[in-house]
Amino acid sequence: MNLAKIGRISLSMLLVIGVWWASSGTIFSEMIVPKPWDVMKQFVDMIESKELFVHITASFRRISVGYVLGCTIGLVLGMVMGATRVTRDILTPPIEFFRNIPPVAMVPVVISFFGIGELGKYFLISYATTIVMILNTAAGVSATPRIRVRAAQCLGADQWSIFLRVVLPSAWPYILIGLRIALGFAFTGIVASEMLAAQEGIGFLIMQSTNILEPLDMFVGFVLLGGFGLLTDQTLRAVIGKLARRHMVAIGR
Amino acid sequence: MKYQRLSILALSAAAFIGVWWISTYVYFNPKIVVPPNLVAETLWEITRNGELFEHVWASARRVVVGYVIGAVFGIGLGTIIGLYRIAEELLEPPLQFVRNITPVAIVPLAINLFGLDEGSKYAVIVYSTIIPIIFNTAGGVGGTPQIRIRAAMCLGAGQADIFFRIVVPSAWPFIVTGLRIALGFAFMGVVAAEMIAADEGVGFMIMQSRNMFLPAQMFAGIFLLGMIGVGTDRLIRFALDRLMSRYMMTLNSDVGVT
Repeated sequence: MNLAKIGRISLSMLLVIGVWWASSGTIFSEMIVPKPWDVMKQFVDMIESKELFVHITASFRRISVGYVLGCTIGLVLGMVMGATRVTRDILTPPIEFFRNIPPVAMVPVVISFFGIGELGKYFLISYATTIVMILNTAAGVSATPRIRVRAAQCLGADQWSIFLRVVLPSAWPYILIGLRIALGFAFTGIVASEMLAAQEGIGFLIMQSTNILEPLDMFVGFVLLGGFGLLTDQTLRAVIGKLARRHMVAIGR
Repeated sequence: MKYQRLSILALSAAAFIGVWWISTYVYFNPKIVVPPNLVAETLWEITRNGELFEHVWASARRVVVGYVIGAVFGIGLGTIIGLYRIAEELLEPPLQFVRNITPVAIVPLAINLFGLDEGSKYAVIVYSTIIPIIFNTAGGVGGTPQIRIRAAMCLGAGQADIFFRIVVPSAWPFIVTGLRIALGFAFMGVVAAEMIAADEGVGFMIMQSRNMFLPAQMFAGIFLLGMIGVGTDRLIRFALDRLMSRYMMTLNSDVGVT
């Protein structure tokens, strides 16, 4: 069963690589879309020269710091926002406004504020993740079934234990989904800020490769982004599956 | 009751602008934090000289073209993936990989492939919109309850009937969610593409103001982006609520799955 699945996945991957191979040099110039084999070779070269690790660690550090920071702030603000109707109305206008400004557009502002150092990158990733977390947490908290809260009240629960034992578990599935979506936004944020102002990182690698006319680096960057994203998403999904089993009967896939 | 809510919303918006205003004095560097009145002035000025219209029109045209192409192909591909297992098995793994490559990262490749003019912008927007639409459509089409299909077959429906009367209505809420998420992605894509290579558009306006040290214009651009986003999201939500009210009771509009 599992073996068959692996077989099907590798077959489909082979097919994609085959199409890529065939189109490179025929439909697209090799200077724009290089052959898969050359990209592989470049990948290995960059591992050997340790260059790859410089970019990976730089992006990874920025993402972890910004993601943790942004999710924490978003969680707290989202709970405040979801808690009562008044707080929701108070926080809605600014958040509605900011959610429509993509992280990419904030890059120049961040550069003016923080310069091109690390602080700006942390801020940008926090910005990209905070908004998603606020919206999901608030939706989860305010979607707590009234009947559960009333039942707890009838049984003599105080505010604090209602929050901890009723509201939080009810909001949990929404919060976990928020964490997953926020991770995707963190990747967008990091690529944008590294493309526009950085000396290392995956986004820098991609942007740099057009500037120095080296198409191989760009595709190495794509492979890194795709693989990295897939890996973190699957890990997060597995962790969520473990954590959430208690609280959600059915949350879809 | 309604007035009370509205006044809270208005108060909050006013407080937001107030905090912004005060922070310009605390920060004491209007070159970095531009006070709201200056931003308003800039907005008024570029509205009068027609610059604003030019940029908004350029971005809007790109978003519309790219979004429509992305939606058509995305719904088509998503339907095929949802209907046929072979298609799902062949296309799903590479798509799962590609979805992690953010549209921003695609910009340089799009420029290499399609040049600096409109082609590369359309390509970036098509790329940003097509992925969420494929995943949502495939999820909706593939998730059609079997019992509905069987019921229709018992009543003698043909293949086409089943598709148009059972599968499409069942998948509709998912497709609509995908369309909404994709709109946000389209805006992100157009801004990214314009910031890196364009000579008009809102993204270009923001980036150029930074390079030319015109902070008021940069803030005006960002403000504009926020307003356009709110406006189009409201519009599409209104339209989609109309379109889908037949098929589902409520649309929880804040939470989406990408």
